[in-house]
This record gives sequence, structure tokens and C-alpha cells, in this order.
Amino acid sequence: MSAKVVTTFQKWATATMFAVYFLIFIGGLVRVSGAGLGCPDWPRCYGLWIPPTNVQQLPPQYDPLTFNPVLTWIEYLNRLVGVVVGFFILILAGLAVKNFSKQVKILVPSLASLVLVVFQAWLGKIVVTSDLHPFIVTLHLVMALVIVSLLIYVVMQARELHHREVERLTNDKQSKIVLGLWVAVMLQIVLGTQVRETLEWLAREYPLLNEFDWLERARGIGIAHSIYGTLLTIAIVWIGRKQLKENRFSRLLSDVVKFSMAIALAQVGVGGLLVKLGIPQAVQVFHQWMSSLLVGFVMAWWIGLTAAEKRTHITNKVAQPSTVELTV
Amino acid sequence: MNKWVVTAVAAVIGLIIMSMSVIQIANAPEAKLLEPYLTLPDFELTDQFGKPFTKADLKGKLTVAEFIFTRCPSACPVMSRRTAELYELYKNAPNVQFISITVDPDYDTEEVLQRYATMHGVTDSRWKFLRHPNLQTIATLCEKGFYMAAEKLPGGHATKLVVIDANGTIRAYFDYNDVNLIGSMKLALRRLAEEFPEVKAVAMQSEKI
Repeated sequence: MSAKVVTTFQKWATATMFAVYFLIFIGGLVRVSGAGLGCPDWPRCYGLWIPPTNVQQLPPQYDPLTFNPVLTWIEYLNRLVGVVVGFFILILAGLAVKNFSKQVKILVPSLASLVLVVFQAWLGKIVVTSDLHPFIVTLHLVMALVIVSLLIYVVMQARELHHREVERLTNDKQSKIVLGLWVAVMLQIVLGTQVRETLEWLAREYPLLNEFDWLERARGIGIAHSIYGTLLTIAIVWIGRKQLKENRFSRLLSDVVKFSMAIALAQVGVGGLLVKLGIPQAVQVFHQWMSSLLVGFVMAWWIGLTAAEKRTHITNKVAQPSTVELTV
Repeated sequence: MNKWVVTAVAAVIGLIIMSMSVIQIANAPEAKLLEPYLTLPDFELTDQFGKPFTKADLKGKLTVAEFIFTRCPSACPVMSRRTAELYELYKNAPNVQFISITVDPDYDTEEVLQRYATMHGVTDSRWKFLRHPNLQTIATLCEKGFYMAAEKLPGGHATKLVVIDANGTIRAYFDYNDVNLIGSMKLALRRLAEEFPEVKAVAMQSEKI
């Protein structure tokens, strides 16, 4: 396989990853602005392929008082970008089948992300038809994070195909703990969605109270999210620093680790700001989106480290030819 | 790398600003409260069960008032539907009440009003349907008390939803067909709750958790 093929594939995978991140941002916007039911039907919107921009265009069977063109278009944008991302992933999977049918680590996650993105579209329909059932909404987000993690996996594996940098690892058992961090971050995000659910429920049930009253009443789960988040950040920073100090990572891997640490720290700050400022919507979008970045970076950290461990393992074996066979 | 980081940060800031403005445009509730000048005059009406309802019943509560009649073909069904939405929203706030005053007392007897209430899902005393046997009294209350037109009743009644504070003073008017009506109403009532601690105290006590 030529280097050009690898580079093209890697670029396409990277572009797909960025597109998914943009989509996750739009999804967060839908959530926070309350545009989830901006289109009452699916896949069309108010029975149209091009949704109405003003009340006059609304088909007569719909109640004009429930129609808000901005919310409608935020929701529809989410679907349109979703379709574009779907095609990106379809092409990615096609390229993987054509060029990397032997590289299981590229082929499988590429195909898996295609399957999942189709499932995700169907789930998007269920989000609407279930009237924004909290479990489905959360599952829709978790699915997006899994898809973006798979794509990052693909990007990193494609990079590994022409890896040239010299690394030195003190031991080859450090990646497991990073996978643990990834799971822990996912759990923290799910916990965060529960904080949101609780606050939304409170706002619905107690419309006369203000943001700070709701926060006060959501204290239990709020404190759990803050403490867990702070501990998780301490763990990320501590493990990251330790690994950076003890090993010699490739430049990419060390950047990934540093970004993970920085985003985790920033998330604690933004989370505190949310409480302090009374949960302003723009900050909510930001907080949620940064968490999806963190999931991606920790995923990249794990893959980069796993690959580096494998190379170290091989190098070590080569260094002791008397004990093992050389035909690795 | 540095150039890349700068671009990324700029892109993120751009997205945030974009999203802020979009959210702002999407949910732009207008809830400018009026200064407390328009105090309602004394009035005496009866509810759908014949019980008296006077200005004193506004004290210590936030009230959303509207003028309707049950035979009304156009605006009232929508007004009542929106009020029903609000009535449901504020189910945990016993000191937010809704009053619908009929401008067609000859037809809208107590029985008719009771049926109309049931039809809109009213199950408690937070939403009352008020009447006065003399149409002229209602017209005067609407014009001189609520400062709204009341010509050629019942058809020509005003279609605003009026927010009244805990002192019986008019604080806001909302168009019944405003897309942001619910959001604006929520914001206005929330602000009034901050202004009247006794109202908020009751809301705080209504524990459900």
C-alpha cells in the first residue's frame, strides 16, 4: 500500500472526525436551546423537506402557536449535518474496505462507525417520537461519543502505519489505566446528563423559582458530579504528568496527553462557572462540548500508548534474541 | 502547532458566540414588567360555582387574567388553550392563579362555565371562571380597570393576557398569539416572585422532591 493511500485515508478520517465534532456541537445546541421538538415529525419537518421559515408556510394541520422557526431550523440543521456526516463515514468505510481489508484495526472500527451512525440516525428519530425521553436523549449523546471515539481510533491507527518517531517506554503496562480513564470520563458525562435532567425537571416543576434555587435543590447529584469530576481531573493530571516524565513519547502522543490534562482542568473551571453564574445556556453548550473533546483525547491517548507499548515490546524482544524467537 | 491551536481556539469562540446569539433569537422572552401604577379598582364577581371573587382574592398571589366567552369562535379557544398550558405548568405553585372573565354572561351561566372549565382540565381552584350578571359592569371593569377595549361585546373583547401582581396591580400585558408567550410569561412571573417574597416563599415550600 502506497504512502499516498495512507495519507489520503488519514486525511479523510481526520476530516470525518472534525465533522462529527461539529455535529456534536450542533446536537448540544439543540439540547440546550430546547429545539429537540423543533420538528414534530421525522425525517421530514412539519411534513416538508425544506422546513417553513415563517408561519405562513406552515401546513394547516399544525398549530401555528407551537411553531418557532429558529428552533425548527436548529433541529433541522442537526439532521442535515447528520446526513453529511453519514456520507463522510460511508466513504471512510468504503476506503477502509478497498485499501485496508487486511488491517483489522482500521477496517473494523470504520465499519463499526458506519453501522453505529445508521443506528444513531434511527435513534434520532426515536428521540423525536419518544417526545425527548431522557434515557433516549442520553443514549443519543453516548452513541455520538462512541462514534467519535471509533473515528479517533481509526485516525490514530492510520498514523501508526507510517510511524517513524523514536519512543522509549519504561514499561509496557501503562495503557490499561488510560482505558480506565476513558471509561471514567464516559461515566462522568452520563452523570453530567443526569444533573441536566434534574435541573430541567426542577425548572419545569418549579417555574417560579430561579436558577440558584434549582441548583440548591439539585445539590446531591450536583455535588456528586463536581467531586467525581475533580477527582477524575486529579487522576488525569497525575497520570499524565507521571507518564510524560517517565517515558519518552512521540510528539503527537505527548501533545494528546497535554491536551487531555488541559481540557480536564478547564472542565472543572467551566463547571464551577456554571454554578457560579446560574447555568447560562452558552456555557452549558461549551461544557458539554468540551466533555466530548476530552473523551476523544483520552481515547487517542490510550490508542497512542497501546501502539507505543507494542513497539517497545517488540524492541525489547529484539534486544534479547536468546530468549525468544525473532519472527514477530 | 501554535497556528493550529490559535485557529482551533478562534473557531471554538466563534461557535460559542454563534450559539449564544442563536439561543437568544430562538427563546427571546420579552418580560419587561410595567411600573406598579395601574392598580385595579374594586370589583365583585362570582366564580363558576357562584362563590364571590373580589379584588381581595388577588392579594398575595400572582394572577393571570383574560376576558373570554365560551361561544367565542376565534381567539378564545386559543387563549384558553394557552392558559390551560400555563395552568398545568404552575401546578406546584398554589399562589399563581388564573381568572377568565366572561363577556357573555347571558349565555355563560355557572353551568356553562363549569363545563368549559372541565373541558380545559381544571381540577382545582387555581383557575376560576368569573361572571357578573350585568354586561355593562364587565365592560367598565375591562375598560376602566384593565385599560383594554370592550366595544361590541362579546365579539369585540380584548385578547391580551394580563399579569397582576400580589398587590392587585397590572404589571404586564401579553398577546395571546405571541410565539414566545409561555416563555415570556414564565420570566415575568419569576421576576414578580422575586419582587414578592411571600409569593416565592409559598413556591419554595411546595415540596415534591
